[in-house]
Amino acid sequence: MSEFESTHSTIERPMQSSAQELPAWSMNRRQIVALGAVFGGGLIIGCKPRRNDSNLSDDSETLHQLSPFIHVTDKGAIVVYLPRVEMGQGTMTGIATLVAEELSVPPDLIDVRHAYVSPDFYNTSLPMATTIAKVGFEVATQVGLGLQMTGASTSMKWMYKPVRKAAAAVRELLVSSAMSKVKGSAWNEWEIRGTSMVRVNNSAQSYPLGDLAKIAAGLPLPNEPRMKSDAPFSYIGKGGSRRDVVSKTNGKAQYGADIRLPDMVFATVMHSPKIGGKLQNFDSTVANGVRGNPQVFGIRNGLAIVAERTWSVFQIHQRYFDDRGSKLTTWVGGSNFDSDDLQISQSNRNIQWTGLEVGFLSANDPKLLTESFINSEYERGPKRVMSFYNVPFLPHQTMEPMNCTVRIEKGRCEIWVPTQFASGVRELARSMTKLPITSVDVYTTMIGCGFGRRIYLDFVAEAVEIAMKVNKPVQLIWPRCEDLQNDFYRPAAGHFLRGTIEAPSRNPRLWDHRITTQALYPHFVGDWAKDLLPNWTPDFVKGMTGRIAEGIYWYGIMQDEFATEGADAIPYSVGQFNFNYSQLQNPVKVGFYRSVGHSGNAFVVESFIDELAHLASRNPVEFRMSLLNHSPRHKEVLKLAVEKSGYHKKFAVGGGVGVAVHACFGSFVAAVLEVEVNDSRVRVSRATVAVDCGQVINPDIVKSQVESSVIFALSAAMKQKITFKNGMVQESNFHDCDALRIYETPEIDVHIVPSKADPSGIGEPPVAPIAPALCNAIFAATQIRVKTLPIGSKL
Amino acid sequence: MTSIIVNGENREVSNDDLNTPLLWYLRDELNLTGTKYGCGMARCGACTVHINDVAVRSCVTPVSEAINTNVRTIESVQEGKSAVQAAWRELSVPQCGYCQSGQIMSAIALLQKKSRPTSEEVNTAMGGNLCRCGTYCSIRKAINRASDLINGEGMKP
Repeated sequence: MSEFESTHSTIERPMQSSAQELPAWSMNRRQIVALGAVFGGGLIIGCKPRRNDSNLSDDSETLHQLSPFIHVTDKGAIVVYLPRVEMGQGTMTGIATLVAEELSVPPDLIDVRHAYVSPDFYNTSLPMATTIAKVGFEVATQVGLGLQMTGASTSMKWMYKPVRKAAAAVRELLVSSAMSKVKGSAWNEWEIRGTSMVRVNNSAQSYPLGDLAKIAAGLPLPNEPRMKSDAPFSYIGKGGSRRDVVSKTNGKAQYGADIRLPDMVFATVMHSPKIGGKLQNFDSTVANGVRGNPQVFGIRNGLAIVAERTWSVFQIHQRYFDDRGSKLTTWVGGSNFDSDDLQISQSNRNIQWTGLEVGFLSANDPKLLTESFINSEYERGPKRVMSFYNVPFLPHQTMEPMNCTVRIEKGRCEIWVPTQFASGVRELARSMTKLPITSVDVYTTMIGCGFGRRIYLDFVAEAVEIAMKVNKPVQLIWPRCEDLQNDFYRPAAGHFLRGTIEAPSRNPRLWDHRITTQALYPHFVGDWAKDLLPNWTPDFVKGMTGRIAEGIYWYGIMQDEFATEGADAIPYSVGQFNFNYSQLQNPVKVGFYRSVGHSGNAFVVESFIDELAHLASRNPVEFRMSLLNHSPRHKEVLKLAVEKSGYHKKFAVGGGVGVAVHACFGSFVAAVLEVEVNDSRVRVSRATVAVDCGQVINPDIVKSQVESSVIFALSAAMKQKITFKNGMVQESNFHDCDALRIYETPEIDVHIVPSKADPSGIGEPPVAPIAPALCNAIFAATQIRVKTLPIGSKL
Repeated sequence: MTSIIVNGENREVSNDDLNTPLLWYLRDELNLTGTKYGCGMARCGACTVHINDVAVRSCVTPVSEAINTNVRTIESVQEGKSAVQAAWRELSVPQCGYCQSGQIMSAIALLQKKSRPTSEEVNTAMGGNLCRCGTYCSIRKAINRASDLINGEGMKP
């Protein structure tokens, strides 16, 4: 059975409309879904399941929807709709494990597919920090509005209870259907074997699941399905191979750019060489002589190039791109931003960044210490340290460049796209095509890395605009250079810290941290707000709401929590804690990135605590441990990583070994990194990582997510940055912005703290402590404190 | 008309295609989409295929260089017959999976040449294949496992 390739399917929903058949709660079912209680029985109100034909197969099948998540085909196959996307983090395997557990079937029997857009699948776990965002999101959720989005390491956390409950309800329905055929049989006598329900002690009594599903769809719902108790589980917490491993090892996994439609043309876009420039003129003769009937025309985001082959499109693009807007294209406006202006240094201790910043927004916050108090505290010392840290703009560099395939035909708009934000794609296409929302279908394909980049819709808008202009199915694909130069980057940030150590106790007395960076909100909140508004909202109201929301954050009326997360509160007990954030109004598009604000802030906090330990002449681990008495989970992971790595022995003999611990997305991670430094060149030899992410659903996938995070974080810390000169991104491909290679990869040991706490994130949290552990190791080896990333080829 | 052999099948090549990179000929003309585009300048290895059993980056190899040769893509890796594929599955190597066609083709080329490569040889052969998900640790283990399957159980790479 295919693991995920979906087929042309008809979803047969039971025609159950008479009111007395509906349990009382069904009238506010969305509310119940929002609260995490999901039931089956085909009582789906306000949600319209649709075929998901991303591989355009002609095979047809009939699906019986027993729960939004779980359908059974006529042939008895169990089909599970994955409400989040699989982008490598293992959610397909995760959901199969949860369903398998409650249905008591091997996970292999389950066919997992990416879900269509439906309120049943909206992500209610997205963290909303500010009160207005929280209230708005909560109200929207209560009335059945929401965002179908994969992000913030919420997938398994969100699915854990509702999906298990749905599977338990489905099992109960199927068993009840079997029991209705064999009077007097008991609940616990039935089990699913293959595509049948079999009576355990009388295997002659066996009923095809497809037949039972037809009956089950008409049965009343179990309000409180019998769930498996938390232990012992059969599948949850056990290892086992990934559900998507077959198609990803034979070339059959279908990513966005693998979609092929009849009469489809290919397209790409040349964007403004400078940030924010608009296309004024272009020389269309550039396309002459290239085969495949090329067309070149302006669109909102730049210059669209369309032809019958990808290579034709890329050849024409290359000619324009090499010219960089000097003759073949002309652009107006755009910023002359230079990223060197953002460097923050000792000579510039007031952190005046060329007048770009809004100002110290929270300067009037009564919780803040006064400037004169901090100054006098700092002068008092007796031991004191002042530091400036800089982190650069970072690209996502997903292996699969941005792409999107659109077909607008016969009053329908179909979109095949590797996206983390399916509901946003649908809303955007609706607003552009002016079709009814029910005529827009989004098929999420396999995704070649996400890292937060695919929450954005810029490339989707381009594909829809081009498809509307050429009246043919279009596959938009960006060449690597466009992908790298038109990213929503992890923002660069400057950090200014001051700290002191008390004399007798050798404990930290003052911790004063100021961050200057950009806000993420202005670049996403508009799209989110539009998607959260009800369908009947007029487009101009949606547009205005989006703009107002963006403006509120651009002008710093509301504070962006992503800029400060991981630094605005620290787990360590210090005498006086002061934190201050000043927002930059900078034209660079910035965005969500694996571990978001924590990616830079944890580096700074965990480097600075190491600086203070050194200042106090105390062991970095002992120093941290003594200040972590309020957070046992921090202490536990730190202790585990230190023990397993043999840190103390290595540190005692002057080895290059460094430690860091950080909590985010509900999880706790400690890392010990070991380095060798020769001739100022850094080689990372080993990483030992301990994680506490609550109940583990698949330890093998947790381990691979940790390995993945270590390599992702080392790529950034050692090699990556995006540089702007005169408003133009200087890097263009992997030759000038490389990622870690196999020969630079350390040994990675992963240790998991056993836990019965609810599952929390694992895709992002292990990224955060890697860069500081690395730089703390470099300090241990060389006494050189790295304060500006990336490290580059030499210290 | 000239021709090339792709996965054992003779394929005609029009003169217009001769300067096209092999990657786009495979993907757009032959519809063999298992081979991926990543960078277009031989820096990431996602497009790796074999020409006469040597791993090449198809994004910078014009079709003309493949005339009268045997081209082999991920689609030719037969279910149950490849030690590399079996090891990749046993150890669940792929995460997002986008680069894995290239990784697998590089690993097969390596193991065809030397069934028990040293770790330096693995580093050299696989160093051109980027993986942003960071599956390198698993790839190392899987190459060792494939090596065992070849030497111990007589499987083909």
